[in-house]
Amino acid sequence: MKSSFILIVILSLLGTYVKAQTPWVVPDDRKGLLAPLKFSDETRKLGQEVFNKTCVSCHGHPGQPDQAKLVPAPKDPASKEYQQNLDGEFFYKITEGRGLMPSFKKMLKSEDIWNVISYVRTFNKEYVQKVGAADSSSGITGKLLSKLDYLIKDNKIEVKVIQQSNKMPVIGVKLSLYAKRNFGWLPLDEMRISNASGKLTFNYPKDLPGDKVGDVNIKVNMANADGTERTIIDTIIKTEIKCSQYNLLDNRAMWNVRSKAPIWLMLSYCGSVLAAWGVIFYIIWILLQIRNKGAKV
Amino acid sequence: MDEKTKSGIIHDILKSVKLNNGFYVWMAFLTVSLVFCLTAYYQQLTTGLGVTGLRDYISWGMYISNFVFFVASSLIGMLISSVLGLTGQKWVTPITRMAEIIAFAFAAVAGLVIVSDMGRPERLLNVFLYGRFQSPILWDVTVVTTYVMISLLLFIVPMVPDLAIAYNNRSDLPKWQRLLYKLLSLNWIGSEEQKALLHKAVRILLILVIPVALAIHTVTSWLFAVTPRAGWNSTIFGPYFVTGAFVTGVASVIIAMYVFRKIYHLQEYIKDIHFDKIGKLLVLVSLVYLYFNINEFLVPGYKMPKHEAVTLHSLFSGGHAIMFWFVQLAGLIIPIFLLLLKKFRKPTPLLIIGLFVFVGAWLKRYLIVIPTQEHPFLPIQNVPESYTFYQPTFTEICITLASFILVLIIVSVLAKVFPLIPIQETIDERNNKTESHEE
Ligand code: HEC
Repeated sequence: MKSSFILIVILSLLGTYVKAQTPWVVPDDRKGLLAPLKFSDETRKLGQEVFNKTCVSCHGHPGQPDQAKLVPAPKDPASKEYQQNLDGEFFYKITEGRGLMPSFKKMLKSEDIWNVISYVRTFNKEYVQKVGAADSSSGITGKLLSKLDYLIKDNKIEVKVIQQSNKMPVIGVKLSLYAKRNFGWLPLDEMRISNASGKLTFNYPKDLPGDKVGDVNIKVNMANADGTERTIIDTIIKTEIKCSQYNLLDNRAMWNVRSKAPIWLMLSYCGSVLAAWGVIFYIIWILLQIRNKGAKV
Repeated sequence: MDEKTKSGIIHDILKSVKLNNGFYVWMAFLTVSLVFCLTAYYQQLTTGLGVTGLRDYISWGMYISNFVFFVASSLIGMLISSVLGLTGQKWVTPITRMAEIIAFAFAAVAGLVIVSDMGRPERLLNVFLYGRFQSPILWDVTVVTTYVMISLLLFIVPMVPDLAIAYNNRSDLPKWQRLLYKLLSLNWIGSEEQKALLHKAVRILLILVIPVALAIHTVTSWLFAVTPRAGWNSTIFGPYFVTGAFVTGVASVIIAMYVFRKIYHLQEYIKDIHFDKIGKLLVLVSLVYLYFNINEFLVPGYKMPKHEAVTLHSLFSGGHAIMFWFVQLAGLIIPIFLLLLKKFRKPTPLLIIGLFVFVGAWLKRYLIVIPTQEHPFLPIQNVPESYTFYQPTFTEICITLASFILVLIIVSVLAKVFPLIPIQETIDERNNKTESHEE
């Protein structure tokens, strides 16, 4: 009696152990985060677009069992387990990611993430939104002005951030520098913090190639308190390093589309086909002759 | 029995062309089996390729290996008629037509086998509309079509005089059959002019078929060899396939020779000496193929590069080892040793050896196509267990059987309706022999 009781306990413990995934704990100070805007049809529409572009491949269509077969499984956004997250928990999980769930903080703007959350909430009938204070997340309110100075010779880029309303320097903002490349943005240098005069300096790599005329598209992002970033400068700078990039697909090649097939190949193919079928038709012509010769007699 | 008269020869060879009850029963059996197997195809067509064992990783299975086998078997027409015929090997005369029938049947059905591997067969047209000149798939479709046409011509053209003979000598045949002979015999009267023209046509065809046949199987090998996959990434794949094709083809001719000799009573035309000769031919082509096999497996096996090792180990000692060693031993090495002895080149032992070689050759194609796909360069992850290996389903096996049944139907009909042994050539050769005796 006693031993069977122990057995049951052990078995049920084992069962819960196997079933339970390690819970995804969100730090307490991030749980309570609220969206700085009221969810509306507008945000839901924008959120749906982002969701369909970036999340569907794994999470499937809400309410349909077409989630990707990953371990741990990405949950159906319409499911109870998914919806039990607080808005702040959602925000944290989407920005930070875990395992196969990518971190989106570099990919999506904080508005995008709130829009996605507003969209997935449409699958929760009981949900009532609590709106947070307007853009408290960055810790800096009001419009910012920023000025970018660069002297590529020294390989330095200097940025100055001031408040638009009173032209006072903004101290202690965290900025990161990126350069545009074929796919997405390439981080350059580390995150820097503005000093007492609102200034900070990035090291710019010596050997970063520009485009055909040496132009590089750079941007400076400011870190929000919620872990996302927002772009405050997006501009083109001139450098000396010109790069005449040519596209491998511009020329005739074995791997290219049909209209860009190598000439020698097209000639060989068409030539062989014509030769073989030419001979075949010649044979048929001979056969017709044989037939005619017999008919005359 | 060489002194048989001309009319005797004609009588003997044309004895089989009248459709009889045995033929009807056999065809009925084939048709019923075909219809049964085609219901499997109907199922595939309506539900999609999910009914097969094909999945994301192993997406070429039994259909493609069967296709390679069919293309291989079809090369025999070129070997027997062209290579041996043009070099003056007289003994091949009675089996040339048989070889052409086999070549045509396998080549024609090979095209259909490819279609059976398509979930959306109606999209075949896209190969012609949008096919890239750079793609071996386009080359393959082109060359298979061309080869089917040439094989058909190589079957019909040398037969023209025989059809005239058949028309003149068998007035008892049904109307449609006589009409067919009349149409295809092209008003043949055997005048010098006609003979010269026919000779020319046959010559050209025999030469043309050599590059086309080499192309058909080389291109088939390139479907694999132009990818960097372990086991396919080989520079000798072209000749490896071509020589393997000769082995398969000779085995199919041996089987056909035995069967037709038995049911058509052709012992006077297909003699033990023919079996002896073709047995020797099988040794020759098998040795060449063995040489390529040694190169194909010993060289990478010696180096064991990391990415090829998994596949090679699965063949040498892993999951595919039993099949691999069966193919190499029972399908190649043991036949070579046995056939070196004269007593194994007699009809019945040769038939048994031929069957082993034939089955071995089919399995060999399976081993070429499938195992390497189980070990792709990028690891297989996050898929159901069933995606990681290949197991043909019942439906797939039925559809593959259907292709064999189709080949049997084509071979049976052509070998029944038309004279199977070349009449005119047999007569000419025997005349030549007696003339040279008289000289
Ligand atoms: C590459 C596949 C993939 C993509 C793309 C993806 N996710 Fe996930 N997601 C996962 C996986 C896997 C998990 C489970 C992670 C875990 O529990 O460790 C997950 C978990 C989550 C969770 C936590 C659910 C819970 O357990 O409470 C949320 C919220 C989430 N994803 C939202 C999103 C959103 C929004 C997007 C699109 C912006 C997205 N995901 C895109 C794979 C993905």
